[in-house]
Amino acid sequence: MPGETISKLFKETCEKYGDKKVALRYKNLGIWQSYTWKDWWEQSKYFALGLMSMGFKSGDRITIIGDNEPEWYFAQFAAICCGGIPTGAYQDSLPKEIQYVITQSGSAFVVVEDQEQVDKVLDIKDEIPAVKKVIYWDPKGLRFYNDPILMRFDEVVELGREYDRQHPGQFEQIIEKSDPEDAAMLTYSSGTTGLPKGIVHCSRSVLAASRCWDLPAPTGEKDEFVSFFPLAYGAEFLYVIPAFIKGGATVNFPEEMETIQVDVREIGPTKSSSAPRLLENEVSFVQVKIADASLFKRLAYRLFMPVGYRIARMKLRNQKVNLFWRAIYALGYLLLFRPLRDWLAYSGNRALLIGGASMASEVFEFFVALGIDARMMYGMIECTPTAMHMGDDIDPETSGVPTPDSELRISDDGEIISRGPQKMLGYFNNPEATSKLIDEAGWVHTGDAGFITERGHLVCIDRLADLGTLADGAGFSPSYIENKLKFSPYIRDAVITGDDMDYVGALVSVDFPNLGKWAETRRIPYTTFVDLSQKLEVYELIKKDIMGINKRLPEKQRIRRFALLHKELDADDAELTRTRKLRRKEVSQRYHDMIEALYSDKMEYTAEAKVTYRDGRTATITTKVRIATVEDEDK
Amino acid sequence: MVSEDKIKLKLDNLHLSFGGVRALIDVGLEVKEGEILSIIGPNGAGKTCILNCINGFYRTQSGDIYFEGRNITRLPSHKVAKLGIARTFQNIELFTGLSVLDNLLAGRHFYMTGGLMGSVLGGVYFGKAHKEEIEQRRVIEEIIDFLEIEPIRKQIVGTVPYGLRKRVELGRALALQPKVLLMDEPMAGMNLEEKEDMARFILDIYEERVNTVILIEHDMGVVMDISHRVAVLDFGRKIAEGKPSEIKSSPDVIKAYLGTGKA
Repeated sequence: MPGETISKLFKETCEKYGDKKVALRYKNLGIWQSYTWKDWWEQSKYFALGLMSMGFKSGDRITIIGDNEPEWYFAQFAAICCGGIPTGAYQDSLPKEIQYVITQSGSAFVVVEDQEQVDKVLDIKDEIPAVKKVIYWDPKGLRFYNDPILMRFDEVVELGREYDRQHPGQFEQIIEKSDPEDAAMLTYSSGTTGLPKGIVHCSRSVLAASRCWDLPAPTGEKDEFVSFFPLAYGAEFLYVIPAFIKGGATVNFPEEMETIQVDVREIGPTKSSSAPRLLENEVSFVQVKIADASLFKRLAYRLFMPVGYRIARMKLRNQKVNLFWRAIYALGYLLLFRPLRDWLAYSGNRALLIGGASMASEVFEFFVALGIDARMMYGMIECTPTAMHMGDDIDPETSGVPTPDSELRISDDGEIISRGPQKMLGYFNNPEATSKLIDEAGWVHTGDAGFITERGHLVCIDRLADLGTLADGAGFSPSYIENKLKFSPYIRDAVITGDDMDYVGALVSVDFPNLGKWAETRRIPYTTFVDLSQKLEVYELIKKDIMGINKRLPEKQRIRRFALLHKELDADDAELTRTRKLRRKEVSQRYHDMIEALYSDKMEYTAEAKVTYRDGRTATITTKVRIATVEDEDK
Repeated sequence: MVSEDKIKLKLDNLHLSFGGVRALIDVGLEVKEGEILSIIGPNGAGKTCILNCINGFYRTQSGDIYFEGRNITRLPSHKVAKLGIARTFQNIELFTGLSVLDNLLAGRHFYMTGGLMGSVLGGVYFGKAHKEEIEQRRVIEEIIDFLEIEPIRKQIVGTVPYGLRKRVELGRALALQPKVLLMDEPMAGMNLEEKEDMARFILDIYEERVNTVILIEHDMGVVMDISHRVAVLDFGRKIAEGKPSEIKSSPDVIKAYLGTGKA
């Protein structure tokens, strides 16, 4: 529809369903509660008017910080509807990270969830003089805070009601005047390379992105979605929300971030968006739990999982499955796949869209084996999705074909470039970075290396800058090998090295809970993460996994030496981004000496780590880290 | 806020001995409404004895305990609890075989009005008992929300980690909707992060739920940070009482903790 904007769409749906249908559902005191479309409309409208009565103007920004709760949406849509631009900061951000977002976006209002976030914002109050009000929605523990900058969410809504009585119809007028090219979303890139950049999207690009996301299974009134990705990431707003508003579906919020598993199962979402990382965890979870399950369940898993994989592969190749295999699969579905789907909360799932990073095909096939309609999506948040699996044309090794309306090419340097209506407006206050990303012809230079297969599918290999070359000129893709490694339930993170070296090496961070369980069943005593990770038995286990993976890699790309890291990679140490992507540069600097040891003949390396405690004391911890060599199996 | 004139709980010349061991000697203490009072002292000083006397678990040989002006010295424990004095224990006294929810509901015992007949009928969910169950559950859910233990509400207490069990026990005490909360070493055995959380909860409870708290604690950082007043016991005697700043510099206290000589 020409001229369509997010705020107009929102208004239409709210008017259409009013108080007859649930728009948002959240859990309070253990019971699901709901907001109808009318409730959402009123909360957003009066909150917006409340902000306006305090001087908020079209084009102004607000920063929202908090867990996924309805108030996040209220504030977000309030800002959008009155022509402002909402942005978010991650709930677990440190004060200085929050300060960056608030300052870079120039927000005059900060909307936060609770005391924890209020404390963080008050911590940096002197650094953010432009902020007029800090508005919180959960007043617990804040009763005796008397800083005049603080304000309760419902106080703002009250102000808005008063303002509405004085200026009736103003809000609706602003919505009528909204334009598809007006900025409606600001989200900060994860900052894998340097400071986060603010990505600005408008109604046109958001609606285009959402339209693509919705293609495999168009959203209808009966659809349910569970919101648990950090809202600051922006992907949920980009893909899901416009489609859900359009279809009049329901978005659910878990009670707490820790209760997600239970809550998701209770809801049984019909559509979901996920990231490779989470799906890898789900597969690991199943593998570990099955090992602990009763004999019958283990048997069912052992017997039918290979059947599932077999059928999945046939389905993915669009081969006809004969009656015999269909019967076996039906039995397997009854005994294994259906219960598994129920456990993983995919019972009612109609479409599972996966994006954000590349994923091992083994993980993808696992979900297809369960009978789930899984599809990969490709695109950087600046312009997404530009490729996805359409119809029956699904290949687990690829990211699918270009989405309708968008163009996709491989440049002469092997870089994936794309353009289409889902392209962002630009980086916020950073025209230099924008022109670096988007050329004069409007092509977005993704910085990803890739190629197009014979079927016309896109394969994204890795970040162009991350691609490595061994000393003898053979190329390899670190993240491709890392993803293979992460399929092992005992490996949480991996860092592949080898640029300009003679062979490929790996730093592996083990999965402590899963490995701990493994150690317990084998009566291997251990105390801490460091202790467990340096056990000889653990090295043997990981080595076996690596040998298995090596078999499926070209000879040059096989891992020859590895070390198990003595700590988990952590976003607080700047080793990962808040969305748990590897910050390769930081990691290779931090573990420089250990990586060097991988390429020497040393069998042990002494790591020294400076630790800063909460109270400011520092200490140096020395750990001996083993280095192991991997031989080829046939030698 | 501390009200200077309203005495919530008053201990008068308490004497307690077990055979030849004199656990409390002439201990007098006034707890004002709206304050967090910490009791500190070396091991065996008699701190827990005071709590046990207040809630009627120990019988003092002489001396009186007044709660809101009423003499409760000879009252049995359940009556003291009913008056509005709840406590937590140093070693966690929960029903380990029951779920977190059931443990918290046990704390609502005094508020359940259904008699045997009502409860029997309640088993098949009829009328009043049904309504009551829902009402009690609501109160409990508010406490669960308050203490942020949603993820474990249906777990069996025996399977819950130690730090969380302490929180569950605190929840059970809150379920009584007490006027005074007695806490016996709520931070014992916790790591730094858990301690910070617990200190935050104590302050939240003080602000939102129970305005008079007596706290026994060994972590001096916590004690000095969150209490209005501190009382110090040594070998059954109260040797000092006052604001945290005064206690820190009191020579008697330093002597009790560090022995004689320079501190």
